[in-house]
Amino acid sequence: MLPDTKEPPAENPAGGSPVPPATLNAASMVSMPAVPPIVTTVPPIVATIPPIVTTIPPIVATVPPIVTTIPPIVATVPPIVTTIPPIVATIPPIVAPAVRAQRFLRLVEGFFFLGIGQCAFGFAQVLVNELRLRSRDVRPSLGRHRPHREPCTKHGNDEERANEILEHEPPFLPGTCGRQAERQASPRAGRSHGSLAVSILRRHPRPPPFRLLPFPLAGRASLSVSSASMKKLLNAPSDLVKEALAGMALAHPDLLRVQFDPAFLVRADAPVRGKVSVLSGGGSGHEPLHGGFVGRGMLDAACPGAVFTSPTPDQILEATRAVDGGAGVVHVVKNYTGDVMNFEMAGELARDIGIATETVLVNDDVAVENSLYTAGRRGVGTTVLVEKICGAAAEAGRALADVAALGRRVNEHGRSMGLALTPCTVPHAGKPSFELGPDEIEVGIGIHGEPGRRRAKLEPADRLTEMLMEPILDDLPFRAGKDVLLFVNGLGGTPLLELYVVFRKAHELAAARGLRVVRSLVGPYITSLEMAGVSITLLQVDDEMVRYWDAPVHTAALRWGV
Amino acid sequence: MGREVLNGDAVVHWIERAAEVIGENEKYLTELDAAIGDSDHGANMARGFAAVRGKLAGQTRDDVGAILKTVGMTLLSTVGGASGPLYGTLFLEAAKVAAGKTEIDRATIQQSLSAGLAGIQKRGKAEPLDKTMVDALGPAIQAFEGAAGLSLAEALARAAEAARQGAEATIPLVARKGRASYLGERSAGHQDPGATSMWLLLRSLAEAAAE
Ligand SMILES: Nc1ncnc2c1ncn2[C@@H]1O[C@H](COP(=O)(O)OP(=O)(O)OP(=O)(O)O)[C@@H](O)[C@H]1O
Ligand SMILES: [Mg+2]
Repeated sequence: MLPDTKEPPAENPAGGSPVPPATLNAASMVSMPAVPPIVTTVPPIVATIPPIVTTIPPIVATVPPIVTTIPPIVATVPPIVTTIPPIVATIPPIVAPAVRAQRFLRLVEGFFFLGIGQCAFGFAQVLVNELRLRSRDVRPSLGRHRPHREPCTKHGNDEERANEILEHEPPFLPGTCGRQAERQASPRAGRSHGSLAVSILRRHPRPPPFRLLPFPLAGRASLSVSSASMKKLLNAPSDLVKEALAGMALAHPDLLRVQFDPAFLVRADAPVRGKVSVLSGGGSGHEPLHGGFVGRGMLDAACPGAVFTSPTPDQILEATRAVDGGAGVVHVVKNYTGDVMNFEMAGELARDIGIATETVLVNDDVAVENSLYTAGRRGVGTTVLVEKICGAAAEAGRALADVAALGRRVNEHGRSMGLALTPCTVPHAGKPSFELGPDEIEVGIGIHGEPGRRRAKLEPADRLTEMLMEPILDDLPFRAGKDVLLFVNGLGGTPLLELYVVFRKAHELAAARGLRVVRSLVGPYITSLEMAGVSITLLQVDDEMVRYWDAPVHTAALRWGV
Repeated sequence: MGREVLNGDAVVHWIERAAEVIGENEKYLTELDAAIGDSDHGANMARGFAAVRGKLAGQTRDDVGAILKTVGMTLLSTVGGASGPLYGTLFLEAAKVAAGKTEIDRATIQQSLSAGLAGIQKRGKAEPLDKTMVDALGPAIQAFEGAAGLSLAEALARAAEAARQGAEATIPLVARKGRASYLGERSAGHQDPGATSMWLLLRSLAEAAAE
């Protein structure tokens, strides 16, 4: 096998693809497979094969609203639902002569007996296989036979090699390390291939419980390495961010401008003389964050990195330079090691060329419990609120230090937690970053497809909402009688319909603790590619924060007051 | 055979070899990162080193410091993530030590690697056993120091071997730095991707020195 043929590297890895949520969701359509006709009775003389009815279910396109609740009197804007009536195609009944019907019957009969025969054979296979498996030592091989970790320089993609072996060779014991498997498979293979070991071990950490496997894959089903295929609107993964940025520039010429090499977005009228600028950035894949928030009243610039990868110092430096209006630049940074270090280096470089910068570090994720032994809490939902409030303060003419101090105060008073119903697939990786069973969820998920703190069983929405709200409410700084902004965020693949169900319960739980929800935001604003799931952010607001929250904003993803 | 000093050609050869090996192991590194991170380490490193290779093609080779600086700056602006600034820092710090030198001897290599490690630790604030690339580079430098009686190529091979062991030794560790630390106890049982790429880089160095 040849080493992997790699994508040619992107000319410029950095770019951003903020897409307003409306565009994303309007495209999602539901279609169900048509139910095939079942022929049960054939009348003695005239055989009538019942009509074949193909039903194409209704196509419902939901355009998500941008909802801002302006309390206490004005209610939320309801979602706009466009319903296209069902299209029903009916094919008239086909009446066949009796002879054909009889032939057909015989055929059915034949298949039926063949089926029974195969079933019996299949079960026999299952039994034999299971007995074979059970009669051997099925402990995971880690302890006994430590797999070599040396990556294979010959077979770039060992996943493929693993598939090949599992495809063509007799079933291996679950937990067989790659080296054993390879030996068994091809005695001539001399070297160990560590990554093969990794892939098989990871998939089969322990033997499956004793159970009959579905016919007809009996023996192999428990052992085959499935390669989940990726279904995305993509050209080349390496062009994704760049192409999305180009799309953004074309879609919103009135709001923003896009720069390439290095890639960043700035508001259309940048730099605004005498105004403090607010800049943020991070990996792509969280759209509309950050590029969707570039515009009047929010961000002056956004630096998009490759998918889930922080932007680079040169990129941040150039964007800082492009938006500096002489009053300094606030960097809003989510607390991830990569983002922190890249922004830190960019800040040093900016200072070298005489641009004053301040950093607001967002670390609001209560799912990361022990901050002493971690890189600290991650920056998630509160980031959106910091960007809005800092952007408004800067627009109002506040000084660099004030805008930064306000941003830090917002961060200190915001707390978030999220959960995932499905994983997401980074285009370059080509397969989900973790796997979830049909009834499993990942609690305490971040926004990068990284596994969360624990697995849990899927439960009703109200219970899941409690699971998120309790740690948030138990954390500082929420006190009874205070005003809060409640932000229910979709992670990319969850419809607004479900987000409102969560909002309802979260509102109830906040109220039960004596908190008054005075502002709200519902929708996919900080996402994790196509991940289904939700995060909740609670921000304890003061008058100044509320004033800046209400101030006019005009960006691709958030707009009110203008 | 091997040589006792590395000139510009050897250093470029090292980086080209590293680019090749990292390209071949892109999927492997990404897979390690998928287990405890965000599935991007392989792509980040492959992208960065491919860019470095392109940059070096047009570079003169009479100043090892300048070569290392190009490598560092290119990694800094193309890798992204946590590993971009860290690998960038490694090479930029090494470049300072090797500045103006047409070839680097054992002592300079030793100093360069040590300066690089110090830079990584200053930037990332990681300590040994935090389950990071430090756990591969640290032991490698120690092994290199301890191999005084051996030829340069052999000493670097020792260092690479120590890096491999260091990377493997990250498996049982609970991560305390970087993205993997968010997993808490669940990060144990997986090899650190950054330590693994560090080993690949050092192995390439040993191979380049042996030629
Ligand atoms: N503070 C640190 N000090 C030293 N090494 C670190 C530190 N943080 C992370 N690393 C190393 O970086 C590797 C991960 O690099 P990678 O390219 O995947 O970046 P990342 O963590 O995904 O970055 P980002 O958070 O921006 O996405 C880890 O395996 C670890 O070895
Ligand atoms: Mg990573």
